[in-house]
Formats: sequence, structure tokens, C-alpha cells
Amino acid sequence: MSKTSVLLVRLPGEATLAENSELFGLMKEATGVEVKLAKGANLEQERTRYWLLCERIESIAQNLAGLQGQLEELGEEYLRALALMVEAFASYSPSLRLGATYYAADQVQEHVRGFAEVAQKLGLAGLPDVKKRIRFLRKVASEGGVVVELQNPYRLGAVKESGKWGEKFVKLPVSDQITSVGNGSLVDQTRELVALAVESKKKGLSGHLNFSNTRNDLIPQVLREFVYGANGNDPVQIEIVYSDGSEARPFPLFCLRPLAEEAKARIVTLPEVKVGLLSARHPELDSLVAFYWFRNQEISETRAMAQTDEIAYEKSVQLLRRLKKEGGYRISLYQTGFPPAVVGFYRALVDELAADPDSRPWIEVTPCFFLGGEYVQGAPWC
Amino acid sequence: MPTPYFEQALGRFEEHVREFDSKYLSKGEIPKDYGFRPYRFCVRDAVLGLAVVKYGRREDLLVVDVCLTADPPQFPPHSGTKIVMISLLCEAFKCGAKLEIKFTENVEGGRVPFAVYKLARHLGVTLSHIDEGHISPAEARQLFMVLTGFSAASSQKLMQLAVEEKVSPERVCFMVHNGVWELPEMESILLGSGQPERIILGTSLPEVRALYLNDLLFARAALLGSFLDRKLARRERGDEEQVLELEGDARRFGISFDPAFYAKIYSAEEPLLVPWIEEDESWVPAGGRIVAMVRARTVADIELHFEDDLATAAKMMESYGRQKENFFYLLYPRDFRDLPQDVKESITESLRGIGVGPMICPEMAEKLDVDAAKRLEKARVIRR
Repeated sequence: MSKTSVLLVRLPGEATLAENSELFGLMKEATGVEVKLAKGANLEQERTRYWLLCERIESIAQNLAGLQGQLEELGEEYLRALALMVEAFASYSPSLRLGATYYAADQVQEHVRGFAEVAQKLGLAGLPDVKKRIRFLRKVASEGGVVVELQNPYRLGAVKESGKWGEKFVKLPVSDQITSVGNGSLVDQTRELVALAVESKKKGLSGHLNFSNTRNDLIPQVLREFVYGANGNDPVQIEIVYSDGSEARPFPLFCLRPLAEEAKARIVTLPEVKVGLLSARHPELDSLVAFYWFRNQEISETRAMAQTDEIAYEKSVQLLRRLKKEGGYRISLYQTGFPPAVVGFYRALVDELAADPDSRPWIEVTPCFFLGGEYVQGAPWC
Repeated sequence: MPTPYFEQALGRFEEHVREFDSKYLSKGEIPKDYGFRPYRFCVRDAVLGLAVVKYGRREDLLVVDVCLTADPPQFPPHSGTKIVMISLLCEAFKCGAKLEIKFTENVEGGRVPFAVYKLARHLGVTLSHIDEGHISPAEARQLFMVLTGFSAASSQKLMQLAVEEKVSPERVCFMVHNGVWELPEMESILLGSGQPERIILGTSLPEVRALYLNDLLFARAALLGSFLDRKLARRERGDEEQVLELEGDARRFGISFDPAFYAKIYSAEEPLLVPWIEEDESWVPAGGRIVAMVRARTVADIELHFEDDLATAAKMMESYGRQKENFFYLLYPRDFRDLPQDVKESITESLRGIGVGPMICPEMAEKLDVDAAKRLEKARVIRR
């Protein structure tokens, strides 16, 4: 493969040149955008703004590098180490700014401290490129100045044999079995599919569930059995895929224990509220429910089903945390048949309950399904 | 030669088409995955295959109720079966199924079709559940990989990524057939970039600028290379008044990728017109090779890194040899044209000095970035 080199450019901290002064202004603005990005507001617009600002910063640094810059060149190894750090410590500390391409004078010190700490924790501190970067940034931090990272891709690489992987590849666990599921009721078949996915997962094979075409009442009914029914099973995360070829976050199973009797008794003291899952789908629910969990306009946009699932999940996490702060509720949830919204909601519920199981009971969700011309209650989640 | 099941399957296909029409088309509706959908695969006026599929939600697999393939002599052997099988595998992946395929009783009495068996054997894949009418997930994975047609080096890389649990081969195959990345683009990504799995999974977010930028730079280069693929393949027929472009009428050449130089190599099977060069018309004869070093750089980057590119080009020429059948080029995006005149002239002169021609694609790096960013975003949600 070809190589990428990363050039660290140190520029003086003082605004001695007109370009420098523009550079500092741009860095300040870009840092402001980073704060907005972290909040997740107007993501698309802010990302574009961030891109343009960084591009300008890098372009100015490129022009000044030869004139007044101190340089240090890093190799491909730095980018690989950075990827590992970002994966493990993305939300470590906002001031760490892992993966940024510029560091204003007041950001260098904090960044290099955090970078060195993270590298140490992941056992990457001994890598030559990581060492070089830390040394360079520490020098800048003590002498003052700003740092901009520039990349030069497509550099001459070594012709590297990627090895003979065929033998290891054929040993990878992939099912060579064929499926034969019984002719039971729909609920039995759904149950059987979840059980098969769990079995596959236990054998180290891919275990996934596809609820794209599953009746909406069956999703919570069957999932609930597997979330609460540990029976000696270790918690397991089952992949969720959708019929448009997208994959969402995995769904946790066997991770909750049924509530103790004493805790169950306390649930009835929580205020009751009727909630519709998705607005503008069944107007007859408008007079029945206090509010809708999701706004149809936000959920039913044209996008990959996994993205919708993720949005439903994130919104549900936020709302559940708010309800918990308010002291908790007993919710009757009037469901609609939109699988990504249903799966996203229940995943958020399970995650929030499992994150702090001792704080239960603070919520009870009883699904209500429209079956045979009337609303039927399912088993409660709490 | 039609099989004994041909008439029966054709009748079944027509039934499905009528049902599809009355159930969905006439009402302007789209069927759910678990409803039967008939497909016809054609190139110009030749039908290469018919298939009717649905997602079997009971067993979580793809159910095939009609599978008819043709092998017209005008096309390479197994063309029809290949197209139908690729479509079935993509459908199985897209539906979220575990890549298992089941043929119903209506398909050659519930057996794996003979044409599929022949194709699998031709490709070196053993099918072990022929009588049960099933293709297992493991067999489907193997078929998907060989049908996608990766080069030996790319296959090795793909297997390495699978063994290291970074990317599943099914996903990469699906992305190629789904058009997220075309095969030559995917090969450039697999072999040319330091962390191909990041591009394939669309892992990086724009806010982690250093990683996102790196992914985007290699995605941009893959796209620039593929602009050249398409330009070389385009054959325009007709006269001065009317230009005709026909489906399946591409110029014949082989494409390979040299990861060390990040260069694309085109082996001409018929004379190829070299595009985007200053000379009016230059043809590479059959048997000749175009070696194009791809550098998807912006204006500022071209100027800054040209010396580096020049040195690499010189090494590339040494490595390939100056034989007369080799034609060397350095491919830049249109950004090159925005350089000051004296810089352009100096770059052109330096390249010519070592026997490399500048080749300037009419696309700007900025436009390639927009396309690359969309593909990275699309990749982010495709099933793993």
C-alpha cells in the first residue's frame, strides 16, 4: 500500500503576520463549532462549517510552513495509533480533542497531556511516531506556538505481501447448516428465530435479528422473554439488521432480572401516563394519550432504517433520563407498526434499566397493541 | 437447451407477474420483503435470467420460487447464472437474512438449479445441500466472493480483514454490487489505503478530522481512478451528427492496481484512446499498458507535493521499465488547471523530462470529495 505522512507544523503564537491573525481567528471559530458538534445540534451544517474552517487553517499553515514553521514528520503508524485511541477514548475528555488537526496555543498543553496518558493506557506510548509527536507537542507547549497537522497521502509504499490468509479464512466460523423452522404460530416462530440467533452467537457465529417484517406486537413480546429470561445464560448482544441492508446497534438480551415483589409493590405508587409511540399515525389516539414519544416528522424521514433506529434510540435515552429525574412513571405505550422506532425504544429502555438496576423501580412500560379491533395490553417492562 | 422444468417455471413466473401486478403495481404499492417479487435480467434485447424471490421471515432466509437462467452464446459463459446468483446473494444480504438461500419445490423439484450447481463447480465452490434445495451461509459467502471477481491481492486483503474481524466479506461484496464502491474503486481502497476497513465501514466522523480527512483522501483517489476507468471504457459509435453509446459495448481492457505507487494499470485488449492529455490524439495499441499514477490532490497540495510525486513517478518507471508498450501518466484532478501558468509549465516539463505525461481529469477534487463523503455516509449504515 501507499503511505501517508503527517506533517506537524509549529507556527509562532504571536500574531506577527496578518495570516497568523486570520489563523487564530479561524481556530477560535472552529473550536466553537466543535462545541456545537459535541452537542449534536445542526450536525450537517456544523460539519460543513467545520470542514471549511479546518481546510482554511490547513491551507494557511501550508503556506506558512516553509517560511516560519518548525516541522516534524510522522508516518502511517501515527494514524493507526490515533484510530485505536479514538475508538477507545472518544469521549474521554472534551479538551483532549483527539483527531483534531489544529491546536491553538492554549490547547496544546492539555492535548499533549491527555494524548500521552491515553497512549500510555493503550500501550502505544512506545511507538516511535507517538513518541515523536509527544516530544514535539511538549516542546511547543513549553515554548509557545500553535500546531497544525497536514497530511500527504499516496506516498511511495513498500510492496508488502499481505500473506496467505486463505487457510485462516476457511477456518472462520460460518454456519454450514441449513435452516428448518417448525410450523408453529407467528409468536413461536419469532421466538425460535431469536433462540437461533442466541445459539449462533454462543457458538461464536454471527447472530442477528431482522424485525423489519415482524408484527409490531411480537417484537416486545418475544424480546421481553429473552431480556428477562436469563436462566443461566450470560448477557448477550444480538445484532439488529434491517431489510434495507442497514445494521443498527445490537440489542442486549439476558441482562435484566425480574423485579422483586417488594419493588413491584412500589411501582403502583408511580404516576400513570398514557403515551402514543408515534404521532400522526393513528389520530384516534390523540384524545387518549397525554403525549407522543416520537414526532412522526422526525422519525418517518427517508433514511436507512438503522439510522431511524439510532435516532429513536437516542431520543428515547434522553427522554427516559428526564422521566427518571422527574421521579419516574408508569407508562401505557400505545404502539404503532414501525419496527425501527419500536426496536430503538425498547433497546433504550433496556440499556437505561440495565445501567443502574438497583435504582429500579422508576419506570414501568406496558405496551398496548391494536389487535382484533381493540387495544390489548402486553406484559410490562420495569 | 431448456431443462424439463423450463415450461413449468416460465408459467410460474407469469403467474407471479400477474399477481404482482394485481396486488401491488395496479395499486401503486411496493411489496414488503416477505412478498414475492419477480425480476427479469436483461442486457439490451437479451434476457439472461428470471427470478422470483421473497424473504422467508419464518426461517430467516431467502426463498426462491423461480430461478431460470440463460447462457446466450454472444455472452461469456455462465453470464445469466452469474447475474441471477449475484442478485440472489445481494437480496439475501439486503433483506437481513443470514445469506442462506432456499429453492422451493417449483425450482427443479426443490433442488438447487443445475445451472447454479454447474456455475459453483466452475468457480470451485462445493455445494453440499443440493437435494434439500439449500445454499448454506458458508457456501453463499464463498460464492459471493468469487462472483464479485476480486483480484488475487484483493482477495487476500479481504480474507485478512475477515480473519482480523474488521470487515465481513459479504458486506464488501454487497457494497460493490450495490454501487457504493465499484469493483476497481473497492480494490483501490482495499490495497491502497492504510486502513481500508475505516473507509469500508465509514467509521470516521468529520469531527475527528485527522482520520476522516485520511479516509476521504483515499476515497477521493479511488473515485478519481474510476473516472479514468469509465473514460477509457467508453466507446462512442455513430457519425459526426449523432453519437451512440450502447449498453455492454465497453472497450476491452484489464484493470489492475499497484498499491506501492498508488497507480492503476490498464492492459489494452484493443487499441485505447488516451484521454485528458495535451496531445490531440494518442492511442495505446492492443497489448500495451497505460500506467497511471493517481494523485487526487488539490491545487495547494499539487504544488506542495509535486517533488514527491515526481520522485515516485521516476521510481515507478524504473520498476515497470521503459519498454515501448508501457505508457506512463500522472493523473491529477482539474485543480491542476488552477495552478499559475508558470507552475503548470514547470510541472509539465519536469514530467516530460522523465517520460511521464500529465493527465488531467475534468473533475475538481472538491466535487470528488462531495461524492466520497456521501459514500462514506452510506457505508456507515450498511449491515456489517
